[in-house]
Amino acid sequence: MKPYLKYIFVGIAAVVIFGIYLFNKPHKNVSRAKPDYTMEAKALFTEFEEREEEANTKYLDKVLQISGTVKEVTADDEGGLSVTLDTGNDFFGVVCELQESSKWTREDFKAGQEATFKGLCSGMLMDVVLVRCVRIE
Amino acid sequence: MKRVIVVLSLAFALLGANQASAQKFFTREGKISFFSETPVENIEAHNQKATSVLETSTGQMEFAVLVKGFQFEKALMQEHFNENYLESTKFPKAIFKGTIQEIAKVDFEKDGTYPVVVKGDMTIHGVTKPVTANGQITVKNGAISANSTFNLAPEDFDIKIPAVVRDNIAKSVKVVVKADFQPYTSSGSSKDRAVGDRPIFLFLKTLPHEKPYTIAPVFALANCPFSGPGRRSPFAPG
Repeated sequence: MKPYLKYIFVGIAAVVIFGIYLFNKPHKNVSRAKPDYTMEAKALFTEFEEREEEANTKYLDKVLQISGTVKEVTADDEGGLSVTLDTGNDFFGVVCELQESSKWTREDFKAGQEATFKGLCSGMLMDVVLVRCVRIE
Repeated sequence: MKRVIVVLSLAFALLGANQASAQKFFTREGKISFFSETPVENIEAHNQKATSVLETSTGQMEFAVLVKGFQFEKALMQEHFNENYLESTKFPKAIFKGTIQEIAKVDFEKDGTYPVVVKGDMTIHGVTKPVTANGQITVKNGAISANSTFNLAPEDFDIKIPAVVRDNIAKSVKVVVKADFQPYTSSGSSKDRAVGDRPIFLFLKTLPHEKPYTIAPVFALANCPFSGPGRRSPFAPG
């Protein structure tokens, strides 16, 4: 066996391992990510309501740390938990969809209490939506 | 302040009274999932935060969903879906506006499951196409829910999929929609102005997009983070 073949094999192995790593790379770990923006739920909502396109450019896919008053807590059939933060608007708020299989339960949040979440901004429909949220305690 | 409270409690009383005769229903917790099944692999993604409005008197119906809200099992799939295929930063929403055909056949006062046909326009990736789907309206104890399963072809929405991975993604992607509606009422109180400013059939507004943007397949490929020797398709089985 020619000595340089060894290096070629090592090289190929490295490429394959790197490929497997890339393919299986984990979702962005929000709990460890540094927030790109830290703000109040109301301010974020207002920005989206007034200048949605600008807000999209600014916030989409960014890690946002949002504080506000809990308005509503909902759980879906699969146990996915969402917390709506009050924005001063009667109907619409900032919805924080908690990370799947996170440690929090519905009982951890009460309407009226203050809470801070960190999550990825996915845009605005009626509410501004953050996904993969974690609670900052 | 006192007056505000009085007005509010009045509004809520009215709201309660209106409940039974409410004609508009909405949800912000609609579920939309899609499934792409090919011999190579199966891909699925779920979104639990679709917003929908249903006007029971006319059968008008709207769905809107944030494309970035779709969660995939693999981060890489989600990345490709958002960046290369749906271009969700440019086109953050997918919207359906349509009408339930022969809405009179659905008795919203009576429990039951009613098969319906919905016709309307689907906007995905900035491209609008007419869509017809079969679905069901279920009325149970006054609560209305809707579900539908239909198929969409990525090519119809100008979604370019590079030839090397074309076999990994179904030509026809199955979409499953489920929504449990709540009554939507808007009384005339000043507090409701915020909603009044956004008429119910307009609040699922579409962003004015510039001319449709298309990416050459080559560009999509170049974007693929893994395109060295021994290239695996981005959607190859794990």
